[in-house]
Amino acid sequence: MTLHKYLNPSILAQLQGLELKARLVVEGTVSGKHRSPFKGFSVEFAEHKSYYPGDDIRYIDWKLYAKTNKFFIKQFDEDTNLKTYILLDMSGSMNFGTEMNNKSEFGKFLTVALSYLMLAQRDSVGLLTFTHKIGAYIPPRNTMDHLHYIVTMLEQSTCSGSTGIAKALHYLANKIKRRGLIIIISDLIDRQQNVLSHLRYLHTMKHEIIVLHLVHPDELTLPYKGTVQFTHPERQDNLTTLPDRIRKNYSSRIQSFIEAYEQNCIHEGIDYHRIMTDNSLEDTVLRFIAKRKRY
Amino acid sequence: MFFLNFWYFWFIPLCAVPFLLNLWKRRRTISVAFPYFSFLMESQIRNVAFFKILNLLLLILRIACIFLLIVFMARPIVRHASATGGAHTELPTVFILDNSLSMSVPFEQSSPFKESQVQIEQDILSFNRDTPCAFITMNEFGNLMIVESRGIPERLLNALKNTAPVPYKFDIHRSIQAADIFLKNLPDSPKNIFLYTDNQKSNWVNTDPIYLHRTHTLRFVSPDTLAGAGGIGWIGISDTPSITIQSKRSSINPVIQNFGSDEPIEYICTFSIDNESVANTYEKSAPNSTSNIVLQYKAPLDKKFLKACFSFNYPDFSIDNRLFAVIPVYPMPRLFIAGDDTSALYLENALHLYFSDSGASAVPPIYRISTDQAPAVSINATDIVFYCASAPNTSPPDWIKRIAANGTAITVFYQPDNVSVHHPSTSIGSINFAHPLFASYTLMGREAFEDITCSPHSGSLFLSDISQRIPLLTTLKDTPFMEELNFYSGRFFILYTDAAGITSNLVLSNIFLPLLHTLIDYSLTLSSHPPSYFTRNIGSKINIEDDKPFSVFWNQHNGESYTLHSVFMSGKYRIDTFPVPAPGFYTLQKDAEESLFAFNIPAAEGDLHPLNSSAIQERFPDNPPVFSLLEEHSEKNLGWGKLGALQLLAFLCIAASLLELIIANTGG
Repeated sequence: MTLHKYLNPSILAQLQGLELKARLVVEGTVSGKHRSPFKGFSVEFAEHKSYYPGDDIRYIDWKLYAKTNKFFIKQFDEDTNLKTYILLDMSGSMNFGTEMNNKSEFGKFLTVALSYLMLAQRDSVGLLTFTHKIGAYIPPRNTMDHLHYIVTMLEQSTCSGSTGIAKALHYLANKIKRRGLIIIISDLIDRQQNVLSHLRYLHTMKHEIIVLHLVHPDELTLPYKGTVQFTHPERQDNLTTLPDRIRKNYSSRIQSFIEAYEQNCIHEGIDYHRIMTDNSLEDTVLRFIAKRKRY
Repeated sequence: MFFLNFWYFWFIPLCAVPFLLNLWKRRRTISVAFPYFSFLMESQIRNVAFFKILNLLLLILRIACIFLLIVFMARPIVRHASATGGAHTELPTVFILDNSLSMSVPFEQSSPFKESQVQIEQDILSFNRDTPCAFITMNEFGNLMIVESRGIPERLLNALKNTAPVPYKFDIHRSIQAADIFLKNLPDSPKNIFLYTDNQKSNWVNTDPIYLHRTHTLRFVSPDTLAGAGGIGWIGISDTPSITIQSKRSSINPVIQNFGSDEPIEYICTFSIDNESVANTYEKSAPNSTSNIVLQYKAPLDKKFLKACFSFNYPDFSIDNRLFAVIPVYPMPRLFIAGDDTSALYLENALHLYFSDSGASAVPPIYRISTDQAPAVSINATDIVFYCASAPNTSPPDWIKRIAANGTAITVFYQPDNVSVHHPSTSIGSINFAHPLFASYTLMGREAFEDITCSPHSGSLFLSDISQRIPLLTTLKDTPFMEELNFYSGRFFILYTDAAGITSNLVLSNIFLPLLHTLIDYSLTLSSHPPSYFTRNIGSKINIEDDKPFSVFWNQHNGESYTLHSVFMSGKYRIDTFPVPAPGFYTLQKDAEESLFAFNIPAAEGDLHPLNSSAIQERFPDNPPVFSLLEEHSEKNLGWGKLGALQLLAFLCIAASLLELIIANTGG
């Protein structure tokens, strides 16, 4: 039931057939998807699939060909070494927005969708939730049952506390032994330079990093009228003001903040995506995949 | 300061709307847990206290805007201190506004009605609020209405503003009586009546003298648009302890008023019998002139009295413009032709010929008598006599004198003794078109008589006892050719020609028979004849008179007496007076009653001598009346008037709105 919440039939229909393509060469052995630097690496047989032109002929099951006069490719349980780590921000600032476009909910949906995609192409997916401290950590696995663990974990997670992206990145850097794909889903409300320095560090460790910056549209436009009492979601501070009178000033600040992240990430070779939570999840994932396919 | 539209202050609670909105906005302050809180803090340049002060200022400005708007709509009036200083302004006053249609006649981009409205408004504004005042005018149904101030002069001003000219005759008599009744209930102190009217004569006809027991000042105001032509009718005043008559360009006017303009009055008079129109005429009365309405019709033979109705297309009578009258119908006259020569024979044939072709419903009997038989013939005042004197004669026969003195009209064809009989040597030089006999030739002018030749004469008087001689036709050599002579109560019409066409071709011309007809008709309408003399059944021109004409005697202080005759005019009756040279008090005697008569007119021709001030004071030794001219109204009395107050309010309102806009769109 819980999985159906995040992966309903319409989303699944959209996600079927899509592939996440790692831009970097990872230490995988799976044929066709990821170019692996290691040779002759093989694990337990899993199943056959029909041969299509372009498939590596080394994995053709000749015995089966002799019996059936058809080409089949042998597939194995661990046919790739790509490990994806999804870091999901569960701080208090993520709990913004209505039920439809709540940032944390959107992040959870996004996490499940991406996990499904990775698992569908036999990649391993792990999850790390964090606030100002490390939350739950699920090591990468490549079975579909693993998705249930991820979903269960997400269901149990609630937003609270401040944001500690650097701490989470530091924790992950210590955990990962081989190069992998790190997807950060967060609103990035943290000390910007600290976050960027940790991202830069992970990048130098040859990890591919994808930053999915969740932004609620209200955070850009500040559409409130009249007198509004703003409170800090992670502290007890509050501010009573007239949004009409600070909108212009605020907009310039938030734009420069977001653009600074974007510019720095591009400069460091980090894949940065601004995700607006008022868009549908399907559109967001499709747009993300399409963008990735260009590489 | 007071307000013309005081009821607008019922909207004062609207001033609370901005305050309530402010409270409502405060109560619905929302609380938002905002992720980028630090940016909000950095964006907030001004502190919250600043915005609170700013909001308070905006709130005050919005309330001020609404309040100023309400005050503006209420039309404030700021009265200058000097405006209340006038002695008369403290007196209870009744304003009477004549709102008949004649007051709305345009004049130099205004009208008497509009001018009166302005003047009354200024008067009211100059009064103290507590001064008892009333306003009297006609409502839309033509009924008099009275509005009392009761300490709120805005009532009068609103009633004044809502008053419009109505198509009814304004009953000044009743309005003044109503004003007097209003003043009756007030404490015994001097009281005023200000009457604004163009004062058509029709307002005063058939009204008794007005008795004002409680009025101390009666002011007749002819608006400026009536300059030079405004007129006060007449009013009888008596039993008044002290009274001041004020007037401005007003007069007792002996002529038909033309709404104060110099243009002539134009109206159509329709005469109907038993709801059937039998005659109508178009009348044009020149300014300062008297008009008698003349109609042509044929009356039925079988009626002794006609119930007739006259309708006038006249501004003051556009709704009920009927005047019912009873016209007597009497037997036809007899025509007698006295003479022994061919002139008489010729005249008899001419009359027979004329009446046979006239189409008249009845032809009067025509009798020819010789001069020898004439004294024996019974001729009464209702008959008409044509007398042909063929030989020079300086004195008429006794029978002619006798019947003329009895009131009979006599037309004489008289051959001068010193002219060359067969050689007419001159023609008609001038025609008296003002006379009813020749009024119908006015449009044709002298051309109607240019073919007439006649013989001049040095003529001797036909009669020695004539009281008045009116030339009707005069030759080019300035000798009379036709005259009207008043002889006691009778009338002679002398034609210096024979009836056979020897000394003049008049009787042979095509104008002779119509002239003869007109002469007969005119003879019937002579005022010297008793009413029973008149007949209408031969169809002709008549002067219409009502069934109850009346006259009064005007007694001057010096003992001289004049008779004032009632004359029919566009309304009903009016008193036809003669011009009076100066303002003053006079006595008016009617039906053995004598009353004081007050008027004021500009200098005009006439020989009536008014009472001077000392004579007036002699009549009121205890409390002598005061005669004064009305003071000119001027804008300066208003001081800082409503216009200035409205402008200031409008400016403040706009300034407050602009300030609110500026503050609301800046700051922060």
